[in-house]
Amino acid sequence: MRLFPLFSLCLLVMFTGCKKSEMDRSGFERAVTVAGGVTTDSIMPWVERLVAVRAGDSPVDNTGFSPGHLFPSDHLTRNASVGLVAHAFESMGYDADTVVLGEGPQAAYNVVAEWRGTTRPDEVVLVGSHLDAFYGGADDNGSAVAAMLEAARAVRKHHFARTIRFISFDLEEFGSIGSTRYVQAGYAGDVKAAIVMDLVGYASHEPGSQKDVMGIRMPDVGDFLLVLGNDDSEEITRQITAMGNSYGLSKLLGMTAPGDGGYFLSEAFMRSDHALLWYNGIPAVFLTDGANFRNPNYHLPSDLPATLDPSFLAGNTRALTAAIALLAEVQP
Amino acid sequence: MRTLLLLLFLSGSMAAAAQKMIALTPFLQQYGIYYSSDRVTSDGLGVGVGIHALHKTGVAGQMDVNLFWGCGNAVSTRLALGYQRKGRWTPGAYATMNLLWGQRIEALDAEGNPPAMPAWAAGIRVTPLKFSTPHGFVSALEIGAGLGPSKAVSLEVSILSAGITF
Repeated sequence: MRLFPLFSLCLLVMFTGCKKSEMDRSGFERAVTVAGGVTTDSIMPWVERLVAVRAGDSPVDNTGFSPGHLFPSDHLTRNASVGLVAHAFESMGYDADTVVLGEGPQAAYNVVAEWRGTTRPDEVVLVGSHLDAFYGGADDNGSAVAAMLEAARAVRKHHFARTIRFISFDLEEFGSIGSTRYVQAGYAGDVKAAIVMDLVGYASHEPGSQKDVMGIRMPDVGDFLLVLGNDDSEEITRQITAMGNSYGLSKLLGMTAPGDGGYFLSEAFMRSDHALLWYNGIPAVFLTDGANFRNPNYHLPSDLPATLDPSFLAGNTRALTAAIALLAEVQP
Repeated sequence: MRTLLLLLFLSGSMAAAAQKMIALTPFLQQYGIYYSSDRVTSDGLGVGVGIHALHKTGVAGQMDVNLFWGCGNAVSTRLALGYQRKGRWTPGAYATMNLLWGQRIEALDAEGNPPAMPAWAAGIRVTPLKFSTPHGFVSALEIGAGLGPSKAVSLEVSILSAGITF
């Protein structure tokens, strides 16, 4: 008889399921209207311009970073991209600022532009994408820079409670140097939420085109954008995923890592500029097409505009813009 | 009401009688798991405690709770029912139900909803290197495999477990 209560308690504990709270969908409709201002025709030309200027650019000094498999450190450029991105922001009416962090040949040149919030300007929504690239870097990371630039253009037709800060980080490919220095220098202290992108333009509808990510199972067909969050960003990961899918902006797959994300398996989710935001407890989501787990041109000379899916990139740009509008709280 | 009381009395009496023929062995074990489904990924190494019940006929049951770390902090609660060979070398085979709680990597559905907690898998476990005496047991390399919802596959291993019989 002594076993009976113990057994019953065990069964009760085992079969009592947990359910997470309902998410707040109240801002979805208004945020999606901002995405309606995205002009899809202007996105791919940004990618093509970035690839073109990189072709004539000088490589970054790669001292300390020996070339290796899928790491062609002697083919990383950034100078021309810094100029192009800064000029693009200026042409939209932003005051673009190039924040130089560090010294010497591997100083990081982060390009920053802000759309100031109206009622809570001290609260910042950071939107990041790195501008350095191996070879032409159409997907990595011209696609994300192009999406960011188009979103920056679209949001200027609206006002938001929070400030939107667009940043093109430098030297991500050498270990997220630009974003790490940016956070360590204290520039992210006012960031309340962040969206960081790295490769958002490659899709395939072929079965088997998407590989699992280091033990984490993925759908077989690589036709979706990953929206990755951690414990701190779980709520906004759920919101961005739900909004993008339910309004048909793009096909999104949301995934969340436990804790700050820095565990054995979930380390695979931390391969970009959001890593230090996660480590510092800043709610950040990471948008990616899966990099080398989908795109066969990853870090190769063949990462060219013709390999991208323009409609996929356009949809992702709309999803990004709506997410920015949601997090920054677009005003009526 | 009278019938219900009678049934309760009978089931209690049967349980008490059955317990006299059952050897109870609390045990400690090392625990490792990799669980992968379309919605949940969980893995880790850890430790567990449980109780093993062995009937004279060789029918055996086991309940254990295991803490494991690898993808956050997680808990496995496991029930098993099977058969164990008699003698000193006592290999066994069990049908198992394993429920996983705690932190894990989650894939949301299209509406942003996370998968249900707990994740679970039903399967089998074999204990090929288990050695028993009237006072307890030592078991090495217990291996389990299971299937669950969303095409879940669960693989488990206990390098070593040991218990003392009361």
